[in-house]
Amino acid sequence: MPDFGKALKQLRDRDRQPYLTGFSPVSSIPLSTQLQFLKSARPLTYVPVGSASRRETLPPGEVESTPFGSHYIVRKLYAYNYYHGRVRLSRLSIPELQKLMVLMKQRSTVTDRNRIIFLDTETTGMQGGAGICPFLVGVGHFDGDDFRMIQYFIRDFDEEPSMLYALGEFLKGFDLVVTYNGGSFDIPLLETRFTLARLDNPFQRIGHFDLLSPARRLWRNGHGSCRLVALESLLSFARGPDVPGAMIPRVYFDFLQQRPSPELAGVFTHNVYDVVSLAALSIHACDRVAAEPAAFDDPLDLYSLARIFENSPDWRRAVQLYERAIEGGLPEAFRIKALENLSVIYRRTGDPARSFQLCRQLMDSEIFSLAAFEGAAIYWERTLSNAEAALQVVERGLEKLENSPGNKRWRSLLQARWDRLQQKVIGFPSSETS
Amino acid sequence: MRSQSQLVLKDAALAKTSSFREYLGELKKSDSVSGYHYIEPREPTYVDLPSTLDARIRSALDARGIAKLYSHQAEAFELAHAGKNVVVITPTASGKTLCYNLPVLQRIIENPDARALFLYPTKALTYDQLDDLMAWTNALEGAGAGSPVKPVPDARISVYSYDGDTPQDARSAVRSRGHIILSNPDMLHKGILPHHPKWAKLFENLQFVVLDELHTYRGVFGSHVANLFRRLARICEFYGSRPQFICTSATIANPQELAEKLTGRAFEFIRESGAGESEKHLFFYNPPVVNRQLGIRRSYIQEARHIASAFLKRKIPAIVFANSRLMTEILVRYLKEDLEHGPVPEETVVGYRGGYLPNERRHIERGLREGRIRGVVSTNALELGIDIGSLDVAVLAGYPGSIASTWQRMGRAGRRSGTSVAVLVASSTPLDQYIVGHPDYFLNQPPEMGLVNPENIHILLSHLQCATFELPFEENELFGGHNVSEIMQYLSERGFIHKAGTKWHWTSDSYPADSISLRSVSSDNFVVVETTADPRIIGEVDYSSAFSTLHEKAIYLHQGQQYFVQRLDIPERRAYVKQADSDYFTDAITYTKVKVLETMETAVSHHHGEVHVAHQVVGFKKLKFFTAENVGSGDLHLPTQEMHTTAYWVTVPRDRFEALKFSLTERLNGLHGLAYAFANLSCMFLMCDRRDIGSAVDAGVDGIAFQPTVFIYDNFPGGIGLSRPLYEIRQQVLAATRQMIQSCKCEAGCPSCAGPASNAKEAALAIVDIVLNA
Repeated sequence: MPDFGKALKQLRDRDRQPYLTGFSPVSSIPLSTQLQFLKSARPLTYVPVGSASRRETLPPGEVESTPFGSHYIVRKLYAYNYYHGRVRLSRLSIPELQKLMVLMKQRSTVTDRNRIIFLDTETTGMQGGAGICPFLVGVGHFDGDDFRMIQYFIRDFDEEPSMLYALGEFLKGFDLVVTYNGGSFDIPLLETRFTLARLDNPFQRIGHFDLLSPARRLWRNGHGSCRLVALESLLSFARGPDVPGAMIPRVYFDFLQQRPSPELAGVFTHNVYDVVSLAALSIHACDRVAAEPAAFDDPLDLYSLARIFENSPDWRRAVQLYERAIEGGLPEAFRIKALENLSVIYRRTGDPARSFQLCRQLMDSEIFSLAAFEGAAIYWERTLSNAEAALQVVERGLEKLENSPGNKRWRSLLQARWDRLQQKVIGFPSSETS
Repeated sequence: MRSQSQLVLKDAALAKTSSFREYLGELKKSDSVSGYHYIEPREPTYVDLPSTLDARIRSALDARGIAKLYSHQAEAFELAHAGKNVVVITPTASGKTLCYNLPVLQRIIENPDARALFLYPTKALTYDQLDDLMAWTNALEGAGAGSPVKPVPDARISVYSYDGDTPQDARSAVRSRGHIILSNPDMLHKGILPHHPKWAKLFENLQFVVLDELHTYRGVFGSHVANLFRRLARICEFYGSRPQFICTSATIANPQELAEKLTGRAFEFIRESGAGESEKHLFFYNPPVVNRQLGIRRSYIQEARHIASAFLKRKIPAIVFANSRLMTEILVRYLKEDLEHGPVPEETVVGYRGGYLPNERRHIERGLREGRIRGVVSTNALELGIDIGSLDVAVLAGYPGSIASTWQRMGRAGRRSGTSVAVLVASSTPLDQYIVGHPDYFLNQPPEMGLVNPENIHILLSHLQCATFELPFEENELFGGHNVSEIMQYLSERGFIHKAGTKWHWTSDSYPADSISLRSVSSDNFVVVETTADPRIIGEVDYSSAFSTLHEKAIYLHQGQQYFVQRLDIPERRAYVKQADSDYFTDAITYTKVKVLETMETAVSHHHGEVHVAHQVVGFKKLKFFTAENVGSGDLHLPTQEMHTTAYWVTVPRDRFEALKFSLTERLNGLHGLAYAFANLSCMFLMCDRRDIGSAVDAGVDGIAFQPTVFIYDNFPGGIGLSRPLYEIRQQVLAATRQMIQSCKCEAGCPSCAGPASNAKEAALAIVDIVLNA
């Protein structure tokens, strides 16, 4: 066996041994040499910088100067008589907009139409993160009955602080900013950019109304896609050729690197459409909630509207909307849901008989309706004080679930009701005899 | 037992039933033990709690039964409290977490706006520490309520972990409210720095960055992390903060330098641990030679199994470390077979490795702490500081490849008990044989250096892209002290960035951090789907090892259960497996081809430069359990994995090679044998992990002016700076290789020297002489 006396001693001394200092273990290859290899291993395959004139590609506009430098702006006027598709822009009414916002549970308020600004940005990427830059910010606002459009554009990244400064100053004249998906995209992005440029964040003092979620609630059932471009058909507006959103960053990079970028003008137009359509769609959304529904309205849109009113202080309006939607003809699943909701509203308005009638209708339908059996049971138990009949209704429901591929939650809910009613039915005589 | 009979006679010492002490005595006398070493217990050095320590922290310490601190804990507190960057060497179980928890908690109590970022190399460690910190903040709240020191309203210190598992809706709360964020470098890289404006509150107030297990940040990972901290420094500077660093590290040769290289800051170094140590018996065990002619020793896996069984049967908790996932699973199977017959609890022996799902791991960790699980077989996954309670014995099946790892693994035994035992069982690889044959070398050798090469151009390029994405890069801005304007020019030529005014800006609609992994293995994982009954996911395997472990017809082992791989769906990153009960396991055959791209330096036959490496799994062997007898094979057609890297290579002049008095086969055996031995010794001289370098041979048969060549390459794209130092010390390594082959006791070549091929030994010696004298 080897002698470890010496090793042991050294081990004990180990903590006191000086650790290595000031060494340079890796004699690294100089960076420039490494770079040379990289270049030879991966030769350049395209010419990165072109010689296209940036000025010629830009739509007509003007250079604006600020204490932070300069940037480019493009203005456009939509006069009082401009129709966007079939919507006259100057028709926007503040009381109606206020009503829409309340209905959609928005906290912001607005009193002056001239103090609303519609906003949309075009950016160098969609996935977020600190490296994404808004290179074009379009804003539109009312000036009396005219609608004025201003587009803030940076001809290169170093113009961003100036552009943001100008935008921030301009926003001081407004109380409410309206966007489409700005809640999760445009506004946080711009806020980040103001922070990074060490400028005051103008959005802290302005209210924000994001039309995307109201639009979804109003039109998703009837239209499917609620992308702004898809909803333009509601306005009878057609864009014609348009630059696809996914291509926009590439177009801007081409412009920056002086490669030909003929689509740049198209990006400006795309942005104008986004802002003006946003304003027009706001008006259309106001119409939906303020005006009486038209005879030829899509029943699914009426159904959507009913669902919105149902949960508002104005819930009584939902009755007529549901009735008309059902009359107009709904797909079966929606029809059942409409009848169910209607039966609940009738019960709330103090018309239990009518509510019960709907429940009976639903109990006989092919699709299982939990609300129908529950509603009928409640009617028997509470209104007619007949627990036994209520129990029978629940039993019928459980029976029906046996035959259909019901879901477990329904079964357990009904079962719980059955247990309670059973107690009541059995318990009643026993308490009388005692 | 079906296979027991095939085993050669066991070592007598291992078979006896005797008490623990007697058993140790027998082990000491065993002929297979080539070295025994006793470490005396050491008394702890305590000091009083620092006078500046907050009263609430004092009472929380009191509640934990801590009235005094180990000297190194107090020293760390004082230095950190004084604003210094601190690096502490912490042997296993020396109370390292207090070294950073105390100063950080103190700072947050003094200034509730202060923030801290704790980084751990693995998620498992994060969760372990999260539990501990939660207990701290609860205790501090309790202490505040009961003591005369009134708690400030909202003074609760919030601690959150932030990683890929953090629910989306919880993230914003973590960002704005967390005083202490526990995360990992990968998340900092992909999730935090690219979104720094959302983390403004953290970066504005960041006072501490804690880097635990500093020694793990070496090689590729360390080189990435050094660049990550350069990015962090830019962001902090933007928000006007300059955090202090506290690093803890296992014993490595250059902790201070590594910390300084990683962070670019000057550090105070605490080397004296005040923690006590239990007495420890170290054994170096070399399985006996069973065939001297072929130099074959008994299987080290079987020997490790017998040793571990001997302890486990005596009801002594033991941890067994294996060097690969496959060996882990095989050992679990063997040990289960040895111990789990009759009505014993199901979980006496379990496996633990990467690829188990997080819940499964938590369950095992708890089982170990609570003593429900007596034996665990692990890969390096349990080498780091996950709290698994007290185990008395550590058995290392094979040398882990580095001295630091060996000490860490040995340290896993004896966290609390009075006596502990560690046994290193050598495999027959040259490195293992060298270590077990020279235990004094091991004991005297300072542990490895943490080598990083932040100036790897591939790594640097990656992080410059990320940095530019995060904040525009000034044209004269330095990155890690380097002028990088040439590199920025290169990136701009490729269209990634664009200069406006005096700054470079990111101009690509991709998100750079997304495609960059900080680890050598890609973040791309294969999911293992079991289809025996209802399909369920049983594990994950990283991209680089998927081809060799999950190819079709492979036997995949998971928790000792065998699964037969039915299908490997490469585009979908899925492997479909079915439970199986086979008597063999599979071992993949790989083929490596190296091509020289650019020679950077040449001295006669020795070269250093850039190479292209293509690696392909071409087939597999079926090996019988217990005997490893080859019972079949199969061909595979899998995609090639390719990389650019740096290499050192030595060419043998063709005329002299052909003039050697050996047959062509023998000459080629010699060339392969030399590569094999040389690669192993290179690791020792470069003090790196065996997996950090690759070796290959080009016999040159398809070239016109062929020169037989041996390549030793950095096993990472772009290199991590190992081959250049190797080029410089080549004479020393070659001479040592020669000596090792020559002094091996085998006759014609064995796995411990030049490999068990016909006349490999003599041929390798002849070839080494040619290149040494060239």
